[in-house]
Amino acid sequence: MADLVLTGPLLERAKAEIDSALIKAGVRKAILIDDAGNVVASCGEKKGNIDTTSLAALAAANFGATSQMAKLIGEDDFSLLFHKGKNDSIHFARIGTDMILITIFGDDVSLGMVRLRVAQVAEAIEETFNLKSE
Amino acid sequence: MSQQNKANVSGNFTEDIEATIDDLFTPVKEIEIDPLTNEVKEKGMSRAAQQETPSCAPPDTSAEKGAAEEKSAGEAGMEESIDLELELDIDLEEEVSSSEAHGEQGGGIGREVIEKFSENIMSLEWEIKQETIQTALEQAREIREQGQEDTDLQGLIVPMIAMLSGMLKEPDLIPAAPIALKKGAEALKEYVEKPEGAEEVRTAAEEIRRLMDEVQEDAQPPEASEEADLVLEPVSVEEDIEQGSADVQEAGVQGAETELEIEFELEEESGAEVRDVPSPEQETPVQEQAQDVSMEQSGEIEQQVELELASAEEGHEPISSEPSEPSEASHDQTGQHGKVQQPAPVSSFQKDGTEKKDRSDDAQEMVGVPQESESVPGAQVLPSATDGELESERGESKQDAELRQQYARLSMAVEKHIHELDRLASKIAPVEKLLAKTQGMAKLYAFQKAVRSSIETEKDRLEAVLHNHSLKGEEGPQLAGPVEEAAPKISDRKDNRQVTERCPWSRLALMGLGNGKIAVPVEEMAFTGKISGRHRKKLQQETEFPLAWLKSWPWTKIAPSLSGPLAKFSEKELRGMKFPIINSEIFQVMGLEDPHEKVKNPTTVIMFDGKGKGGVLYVDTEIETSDIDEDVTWKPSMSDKGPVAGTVRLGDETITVISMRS
Amino acid sequence: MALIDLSKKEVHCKIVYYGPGRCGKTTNLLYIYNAMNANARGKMLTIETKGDRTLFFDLLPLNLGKVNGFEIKIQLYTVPGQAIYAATRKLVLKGVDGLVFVADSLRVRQTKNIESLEDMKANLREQNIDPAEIPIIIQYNKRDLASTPIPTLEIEELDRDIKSRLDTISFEAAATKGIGVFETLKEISKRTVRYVAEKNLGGVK
Repeated sequence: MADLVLTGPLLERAKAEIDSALIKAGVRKAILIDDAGNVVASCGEKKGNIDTTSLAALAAANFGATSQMAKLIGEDDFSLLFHKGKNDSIHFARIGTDMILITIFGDDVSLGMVRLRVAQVAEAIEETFNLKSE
Repeated sequence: MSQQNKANVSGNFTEDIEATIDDLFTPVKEIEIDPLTNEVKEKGMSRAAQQETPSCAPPDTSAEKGAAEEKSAGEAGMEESIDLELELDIDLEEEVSSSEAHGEQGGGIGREVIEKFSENIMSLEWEIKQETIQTALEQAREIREQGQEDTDLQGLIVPMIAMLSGMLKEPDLIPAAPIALKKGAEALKEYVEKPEGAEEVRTAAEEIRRLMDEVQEDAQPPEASEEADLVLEPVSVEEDIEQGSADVQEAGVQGAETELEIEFELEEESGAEVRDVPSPEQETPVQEQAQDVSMEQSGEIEQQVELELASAEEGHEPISSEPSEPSEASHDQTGQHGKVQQPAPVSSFQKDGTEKKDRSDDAQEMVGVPQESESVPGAQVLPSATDGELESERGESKQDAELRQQYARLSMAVEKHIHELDRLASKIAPVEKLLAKTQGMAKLYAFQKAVRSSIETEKDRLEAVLHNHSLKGEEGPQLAGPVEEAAPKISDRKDNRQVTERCPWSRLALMGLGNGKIAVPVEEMAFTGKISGRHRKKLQQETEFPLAWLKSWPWTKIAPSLSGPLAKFSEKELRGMKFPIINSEIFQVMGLEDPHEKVKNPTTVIMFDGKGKGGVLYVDTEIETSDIDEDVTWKPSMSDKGPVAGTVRLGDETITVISMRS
Repeated sequence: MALIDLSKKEVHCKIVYYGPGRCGKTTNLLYIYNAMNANARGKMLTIETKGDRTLFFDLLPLNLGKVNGFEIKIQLYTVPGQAIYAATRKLVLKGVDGLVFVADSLRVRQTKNIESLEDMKANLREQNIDPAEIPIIIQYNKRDLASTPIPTLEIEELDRDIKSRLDTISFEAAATKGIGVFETLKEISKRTVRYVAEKNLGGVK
């Protein structure tokens, strides 16, 4: 298992990719975490005081739990992990093998659009961090 | 169960359980776990339990399987070029059943197709797939076919079709598209149930159109935005501007000043707007001098106009694939009567003539396409002509329906135009500010100001027209009236907008004139003083002042008594120069009463603009100079002719500024 | 909260192994899972990181079978020990019926032991659970390191740190070798079932 080594430029690039694909499309916040629940990068609105540390840990746990659930029902994994809220919703997507992208968006952005953009940015981030499995 | 029994159960229960625990919770094999790897090593086997998962990690342990993310079908769309093709294929010759009452439409459109359409749109909200977009698009077309006579419905479904077509090519071009489409579908559903609730339909249609406009604005051709940057860049180099601009200014500004007219004509019969689209060939001299952003945009506007009208003719969507520009060329700053010309105000910023020419070429290219089609006289009238022909074939009721559709499109076009005018005005504002601060740019500044004012006036008037006369079919013919009024002509403008731009001059000479007070830019004062007695009297009688009057003796030279650019002329030239005595003119323009009394000991002030225009006035007060701070209120004159450049507010006085450059 | 299904005659209890990161909670469960009779236990579920650190929880369901007509099921959970997983720990602690506090005998973990204990008590109070009432026992793990050069805490020190804050019995253990693992398990299981039974099946209070 390769360690995830982060450098300033790499992080900036990842953030820029997330910014242009998601934040500019109207997503409120996008948090890139590793699957242990550590925050790698956080983009989007600063206000709102979301406890990203806890969110990341829970998201990772959530993702892990649902992954296990998928296996229990004979699936490899679920392709959509999404929780709809009254005002804001949250979407989880795996990036490469080690990272998870959490997207929080309001009802002015459709899930379909988020999924589309997340798929695009996943590619870009994987390349940035060289996460593509050979 | 009685309490006693319960107690018994409890007591026995716990004992039994504890016994069971002792029994079962015992190791059956000896193992050791590696603390680093968590590997389980068997120390001693009491059973053939090795077949059971020997690894310490249970088979269902994993949190890191890489699940391939489902790639949206939109990825394929990403690689194609942006091409929001028009998709409206209303066949104008198709039989259209007349219908006045909205109530008829509800039954006319199948509820089933609306339901299915809504479902697809909802699916799009969850997942954007090409198949879903395609299906939704087909369903939308079907709805459009079924509800052809319903303007409100058409007003919604047509932009939805355009949006879906765009999404088909580039699914994520408009991030808010799925939401807007969802609202549109919901509005459609409700409208079919309750046709009287057309408001939601219109609101949804508005939203979709707005999003389309935004994306089309963003998708402006790169050369336009690059050139916009190029135009603004040289502006910052003030010295170059001054040096290279003199000749260009003259020709350009003069040409521009006389031709600031925008006209709107409507044909009542067709109800369609007719616009005279400029032909750049006619304006080549002006064009070659300077291009600015508005020129490219006017070219784009013309293109847009053509596309819209042509598409309406061919039954296409008014929303064109070109960058969204107002559908009229009316915002062009210069124009001959009935024609629109390209503005030249920023020509002074072009140092490089080649650059200008390149841009004019570009603009010509951009305008080229529509121009060809417009070479046919009355080409702009084509849609209406076509409509008229068709209408005569069909009859009055169909004409009404057609008119309604036309007006819906016109309404959209006007809205886009308003938006574009706003954008252009905001682009001109920084240039104007810079001109205000730049010495020697007073005239250009005033011109630029006038240009921006006219754009804003036009925008306001269009907005008023749009709101007061919501462009519906039945009100179509009335459009001729208000919109004609909306045609702003600089000469007719009575714009009293207060402006707080900076006074173009940093030092003004203040003096009394009659009962008023005037100010003259210090830099324009070529001479201040008393002239010889014999000429002094003539000051108040003659209308012209030959510079030779400055000679106290026949052999005295004129130049030494002058200052500024005028002093640089040769004696011969100076001897031949005459400037108008402008006292009366000033009185007239300022609305002051000419005292007509003899000024006892007039001080002569000779003004010179640095190029060739001069004026002479005589005053009988002390002349004091005043530094003009940045925050002094400056209001330029509305008129571009005459000696009055504007007014400044000093203390509690409003003082008229006289300038030879106005 | 124990689930008591009187119709099906089932009792479900939840026991949580709590403690600082890397103290041996998961190791306890692993040992139990691997060493126990397969009939008495179910499949172990682990949600962990690549570094084998518990990310969410480990779960080992145990089944005592029918006792006095009641099916007794005990679910063993572990919490993630690291500080950043505080929110996750709260989740796992929900509905707990009995706790094992696993303390790390390594001297370098002394502060972490105390922090984890306080964290546990705070989380219990948040759920309106009285730490003095609910069955809790202590396990001093990694006692096998006491005889090595690695600095470890003495039992007295551990008592001072832990028992002073949590008045209950303690077991010495070396989970990797299985020492004290089942003893701990038996004790907490008995206490928990007793607690649950007395609360729900016992006489009127």
